[in-house]
Amino acid sequence: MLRNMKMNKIWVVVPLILTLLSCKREYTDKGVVGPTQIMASKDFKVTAPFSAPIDPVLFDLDVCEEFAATFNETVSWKIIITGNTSKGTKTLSGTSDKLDANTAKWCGSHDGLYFFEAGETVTAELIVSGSTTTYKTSFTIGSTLNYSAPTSNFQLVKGCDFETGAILGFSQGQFEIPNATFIKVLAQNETIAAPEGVYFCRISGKSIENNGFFVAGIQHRGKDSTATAFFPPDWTDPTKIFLNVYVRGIDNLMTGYRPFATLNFEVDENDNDLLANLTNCPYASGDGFCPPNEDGWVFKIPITHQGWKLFSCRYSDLIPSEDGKNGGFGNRVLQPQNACRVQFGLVSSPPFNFVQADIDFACMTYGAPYDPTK
Amino acid sequence: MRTFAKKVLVVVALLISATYVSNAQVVYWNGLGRALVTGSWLNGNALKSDPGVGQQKDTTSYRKSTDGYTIFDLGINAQPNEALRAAVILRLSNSFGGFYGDGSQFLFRQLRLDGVISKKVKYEIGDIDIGLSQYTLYNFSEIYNDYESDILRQRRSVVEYENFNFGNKWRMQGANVETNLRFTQGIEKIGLKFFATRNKRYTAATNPDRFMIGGRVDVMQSRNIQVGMNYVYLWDALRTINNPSLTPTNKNQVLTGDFKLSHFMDKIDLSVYGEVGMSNNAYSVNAMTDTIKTTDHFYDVGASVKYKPLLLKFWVNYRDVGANFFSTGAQTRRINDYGTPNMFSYLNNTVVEPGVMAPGTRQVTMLDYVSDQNLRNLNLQNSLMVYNPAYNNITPYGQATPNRKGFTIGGSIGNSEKLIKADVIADLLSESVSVGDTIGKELRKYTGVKGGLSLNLHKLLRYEKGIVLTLGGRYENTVRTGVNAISLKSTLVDAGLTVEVVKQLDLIGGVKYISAKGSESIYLRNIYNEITNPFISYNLDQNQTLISYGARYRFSKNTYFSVNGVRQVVKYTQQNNLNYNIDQVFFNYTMIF
Repeated sequence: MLRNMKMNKIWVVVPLILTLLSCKREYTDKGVVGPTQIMASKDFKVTAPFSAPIDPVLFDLDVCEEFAATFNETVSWKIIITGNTSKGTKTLSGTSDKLDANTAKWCGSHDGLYFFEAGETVTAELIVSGSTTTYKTSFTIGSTLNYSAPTSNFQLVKGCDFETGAILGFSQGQFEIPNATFIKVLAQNETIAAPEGVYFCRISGKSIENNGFFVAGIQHRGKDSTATAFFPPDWTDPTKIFLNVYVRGIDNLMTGYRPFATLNFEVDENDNDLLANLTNCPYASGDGFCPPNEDGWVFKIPITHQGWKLFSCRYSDLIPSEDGKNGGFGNRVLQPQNACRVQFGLVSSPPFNFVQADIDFACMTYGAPYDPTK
Repeated sequence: MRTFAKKVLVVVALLISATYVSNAQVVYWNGLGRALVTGSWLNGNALKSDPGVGQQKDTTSYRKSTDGYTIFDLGINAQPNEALRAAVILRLSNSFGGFYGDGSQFLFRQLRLDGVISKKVKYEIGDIDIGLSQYTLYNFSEIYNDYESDILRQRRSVVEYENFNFGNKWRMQGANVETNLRFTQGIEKIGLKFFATRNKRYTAATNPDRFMIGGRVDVMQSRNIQVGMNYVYLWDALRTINNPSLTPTNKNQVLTGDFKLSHFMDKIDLSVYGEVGMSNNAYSVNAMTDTIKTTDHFYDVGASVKYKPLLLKFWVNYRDVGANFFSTGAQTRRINDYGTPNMFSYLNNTVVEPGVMAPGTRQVTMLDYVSDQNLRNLNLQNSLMVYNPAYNNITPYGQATPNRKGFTIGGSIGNSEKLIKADVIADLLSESVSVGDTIGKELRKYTGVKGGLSLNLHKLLRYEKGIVLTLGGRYENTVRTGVNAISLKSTLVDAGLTVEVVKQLDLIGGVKYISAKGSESIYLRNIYNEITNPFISYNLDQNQTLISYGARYRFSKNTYFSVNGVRQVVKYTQQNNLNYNIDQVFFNYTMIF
């Protein structure tokens, strides 16, 4: 009986193995995985030297750098571009026997955290697969991409690159709340580099409100009293609109540190349009937004990280404002075309703590979160 | 200061409570005390100018470094009955440089509740160590170090203790339950094991909570027939963060079955064993509804014969692990080969692998492997980590390394209690599918031989004091022919000698040598575990020599004081201007009670 049981166990195990052995792997027919890679042979030569002919390159005029080189054989290569000042980086790669406008073109985007800066010298290093020799060239960025100009799927929150060195002011739709004491536009220095350009904005302080939560913020208003929509007219689908901002967290964050600071990235929608009833709405102004009767939609960013980080949120994932006096009682329907204000608010929780958040390059995108590599 | 005083009061209160309770219950203590001091010096050609190659003198990298700390881990174990034991380890640490206690830290290092319910069910809650099979949940060694010298193993043990590398288990937070059901006929016993853990705590707006559940069922029909099943499931809890639709998440499931059929005779034991299984891995893609899914399988079967009088064993395995087989718990590396070392982190004139290392970062060496506590990885990763091919190119992700098939043949004799313990293992493996060669689709072939011996010379010489010699080595050869030819050879040699000169006083010494020459490609993977473009072509002609020598006085079995001299030499054969050395003096007092 024991022998029968042993045989039974074997008859269970063997078919299990055979079943798995017969499973075909999805890549078996292709015979290869991973990207193309062709290494240089021992006879590899660069027959025309590696160069960046456009110098300086003006990215804001839609001019791209077109690297050039010719090889005596087809190889896999990569070009690593590094900003000498900004430390921005970009990597191009491909497999070909030459570099030209079709294979090695750079139009100003970046891969890492930092954007390239206008006026800086960049170094491009060509590395060929299988070759120990690298080739370098340098050129200057005359101007960077023009982020102020909106496109069909990108819109900078006005003034939120802070490159004027200051808050724009009420007349231009950007102002401090409650006052300028809490808001500083700072130039980058040896310890803190701005992700984009040379300036970033710091919101810091201790709340002067009775409840001690809200510290300070920056508000951006759309057009004037005609309440023209904040977003382009074809940005209607809340699932396709994204809010993006670079936020710098806390240095030397101790293990288990409690996140006192939260940055609220808020979009306010003018649902009720009380332009004609300003007496009932002491906070209303030319944009028609009456805070106690409208919708405020919030992207909460707890400041628990270190260094700069890009945060993105889909419009449809925004949560309603918890402040009844400011955006807490609208129609509770996401209506991007009703958006008339965007604001950043720094909150302390628990209340009455000194908190700080650095922000830069707040923007809206349509279709996908902001991707600086593209 | 006030906070520190409060913590001391808490500890005192706990101690008093425990003492009071101990009259009726069992309270016992254990722990570890350690003091380390390291003095290091950096020198070599890398710091000098070399006009011939345009190298400028390094004026910014540090030349000297002093480090050290004192720690006291006090373990308090209260066991009121068999069903419950509460164990906590409190750590008091003081890094050198802290002034009169102001630099001291007090923290909870470990908290665990465990016990046995009704003499049948064993449970653990809290900080627990969990492992299953080598293809499901296994914390493998990063490099072959079976015959590492005693002096370097002792140094490594400090790092492993700090990083909870106890055996091949992963330290996690959660709960684990085990039980055995015994029968009187038919089946001898069924073992059941289940666990549930949290691997990563959420970071609001960024990372969701990550959980893992799993378990094992093994059926022992008799000592001749054993079968088992292992299952692990790791997933990200999307709703624990603010904007779930933008955060890529991962679900990884691995299911395996294993078996062992044995036949025992008077002098010879025969066994046939194996494990087969499959993985299912899925990532949700940022802001899109589609997911990236991969499914693959593996099998690993073998046979062994053991001649018991000599403790002589031979075995042969064949395995085929699919290229898309992914097991988070089994393929996560415990060391980051391209991390920033704690000691002499930056070196202006050095070899840098673009794309994996920041410019000016000193590359991780053998000395960092055995001494740097911060290079270790404690979290399961949901994509394959990048590795240095010079250190381990055949099984960089352990036994479960994907895209490997072939034979492993081995033999061993003796054990550490006998005169000699030795083994040799040969790997004859290749890729299952070509990676990176879209032209010829050639496969890499891996040939590896590793082994060593540990010789208790005092038994041979009939000497009353201990003399132990260890020798070990590992050779790897990776070859791919065709248009995209690859050839990488690396050799690792370990040698060590421990001599007890007078009672409890040892002179200890050891050498570790590694050389690597050739070319290989390093593949970076994105957060969806896909190989990204660009490649990194890795050309190497380098050797490292790590020499350590010193003395150790053993106060007892678990208490010792040792003083070591260390010299690490790093040489680049084709780039002598980048050579450097690190010299160290290392003091270690360790007390385990």
